[in-house]
Amino acid sequence: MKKFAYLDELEARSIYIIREAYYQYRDKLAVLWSMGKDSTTMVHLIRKAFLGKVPLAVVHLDTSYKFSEIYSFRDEYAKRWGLQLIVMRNEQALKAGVSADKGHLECCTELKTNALKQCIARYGFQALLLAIRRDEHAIRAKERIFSPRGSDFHWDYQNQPPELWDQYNKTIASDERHFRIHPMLGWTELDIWRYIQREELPVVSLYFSKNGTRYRSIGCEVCCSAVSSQAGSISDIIKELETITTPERAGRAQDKEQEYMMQKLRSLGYM
Amino acid sequence: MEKFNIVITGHVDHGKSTLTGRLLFDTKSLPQGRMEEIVATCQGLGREFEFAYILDALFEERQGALTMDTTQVTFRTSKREYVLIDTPGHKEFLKNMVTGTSYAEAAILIVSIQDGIQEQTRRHAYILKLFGLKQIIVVVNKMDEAAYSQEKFEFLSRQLNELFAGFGMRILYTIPICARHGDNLVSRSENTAWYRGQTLLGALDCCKKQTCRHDFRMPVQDIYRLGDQDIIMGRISSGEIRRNDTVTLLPMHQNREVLAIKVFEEDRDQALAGENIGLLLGEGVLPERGDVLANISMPKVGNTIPALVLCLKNKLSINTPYILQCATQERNCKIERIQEQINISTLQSTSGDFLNEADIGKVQMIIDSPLVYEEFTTLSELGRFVLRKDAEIIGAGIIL
Repeated sequence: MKKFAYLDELEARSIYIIREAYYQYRDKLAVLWSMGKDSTTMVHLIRKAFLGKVPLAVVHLDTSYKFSEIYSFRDEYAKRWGLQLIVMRNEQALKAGVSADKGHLECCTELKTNALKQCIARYGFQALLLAIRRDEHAIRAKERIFSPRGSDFHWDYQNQPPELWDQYNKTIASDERHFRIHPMLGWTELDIWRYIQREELPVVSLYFSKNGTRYRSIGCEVCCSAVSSQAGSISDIIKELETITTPERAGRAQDKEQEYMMQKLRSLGYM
Repeated sequence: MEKFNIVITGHVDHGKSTLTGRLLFDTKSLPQGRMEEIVATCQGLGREFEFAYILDALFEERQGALTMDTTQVTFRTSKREYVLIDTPGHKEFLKNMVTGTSYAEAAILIVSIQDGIQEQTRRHAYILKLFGLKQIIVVVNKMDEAAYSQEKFEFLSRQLNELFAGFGMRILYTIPICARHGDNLVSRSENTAWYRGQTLLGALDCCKKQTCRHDFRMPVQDIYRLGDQDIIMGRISSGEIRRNDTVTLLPMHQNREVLAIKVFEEDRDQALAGENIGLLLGEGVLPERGDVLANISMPKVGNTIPALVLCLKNKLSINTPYILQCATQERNCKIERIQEQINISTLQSTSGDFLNEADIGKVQMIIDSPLVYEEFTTLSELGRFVLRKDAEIIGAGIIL
């Protein structure tokens, strides 16, 4: 008999949540895909949940500042997996010249949060699947699995609803509200890589070491810095993560800058 | 590596977040630079170094020096990976404490040596019982403030044993600690040379994964259309299923043959508890979400159920319409009567027509159409429920 390994348990829990989300929202449900390791894992979990298909829209919030490797990865796998891809850009903000060098808070808010607002307004989504994890940031560790967002995307972190066992919150239909659904909150960075290895999932090549550095977390080119690493394969990355203690998002500008940056960003509707 | 979920509960200010932060520090689980960040934050606020800030990351939590919401963090030992679920101790954040507790496989209850057993100590102990947590480790904290006195520790230990015995529960280990200084967390402390028991980490490593052995049960979650076939989707709560088995569809009591078991892109001969599967069934009425598939023995089906209920918001009153969610079932229901209202402070039971927020009562529920269920102690997934008013969860319960 097959032993129920811990990765199977994590996978099962996530698939159950994804199916619950789909039961409640059907075509009003979309998944955010940044082509990073976490959301690519989520797309794979969705394929598993729906017996090989992806019956929901896959949204890429495109800041236009991503690495070129990310764009080519997106196009290749969107085609291979038959994804209904929606690429969302805040064109107005881009025309106005919004960029990271004029301030991270504004840039992330305009090009990600506000692009998402436009996406929800245009397509009428009521719920979004997001691949955030508790171990990424102390603020994300406080999240619920089904997490309501009020009007103007506000996250009422001081008054989150109870969430027990597998009984998730129901939405009250309203144009101004949506749910963020986090099926992978309980995964760690190591779990992700072990799962990617086991399931033989593709990842963007930026994660692998080139000339002594690699990216542990990827996003916009200007806001990501590479870390010193010799890890050139998935098993190297796993070995590396088993020993090092530097935080995963150390290379992400929006997490630092000042204390509570992440809390501010998130209360404004950031992922 | 196996994951094991531990909830940390106890009265406000008895040191839950400090303990969690200190455990992360002592097991070298903090990312590089995190301690320096916290030191700087504490200096900025003009406070002494505070381990609790590792968890209490919200600006408001640090300002008020109290935990508001539940957090989960992980650390590894050579045996397994622990997920520590920190919870708030204030009564007003009970819904957050309960949220954290619902994920746990074992619990740490923290009690300050100086304050002793307080109202939330009792309430949390009772909630651990309500949620079926049997592996309970009690840590007696702030031993430094009592000069590491063996006498005081043993006195409080006896009181704690009596408290749990009164609920029909048993404490696995009682450990004298000082969370701030790390006494008896990872290694035995010289300050308590008289103590010969386990360290906290040792006690955690002695906890076991709870497994439930029961016959096949699968609540129907959804129906997907695959080509011209309707596939019954669900997660197996207990037992196992094989192709060609006959299963009974409840509550209508119809027997159906299992023609195929689908997992991702393959057809399987067999599936086990915990797996999310799709079933192709033989001819008959199409099941709906909330139906339950079973074989060998049958779960109970009925309209009147005895339960223990915890009120999470405002008030739960008799003869008021609520929505009950049990596994994937959703039913209109009412509390017909409250047989006993359990007063947490005195542990006396009284009767009444309503439960206030944080109250626990033994009740009789009336469901508008038959519910498929098990006693909580038999199969937790079909023996626990939440109560909703409109969209909001306002109560939680277990079936007796």
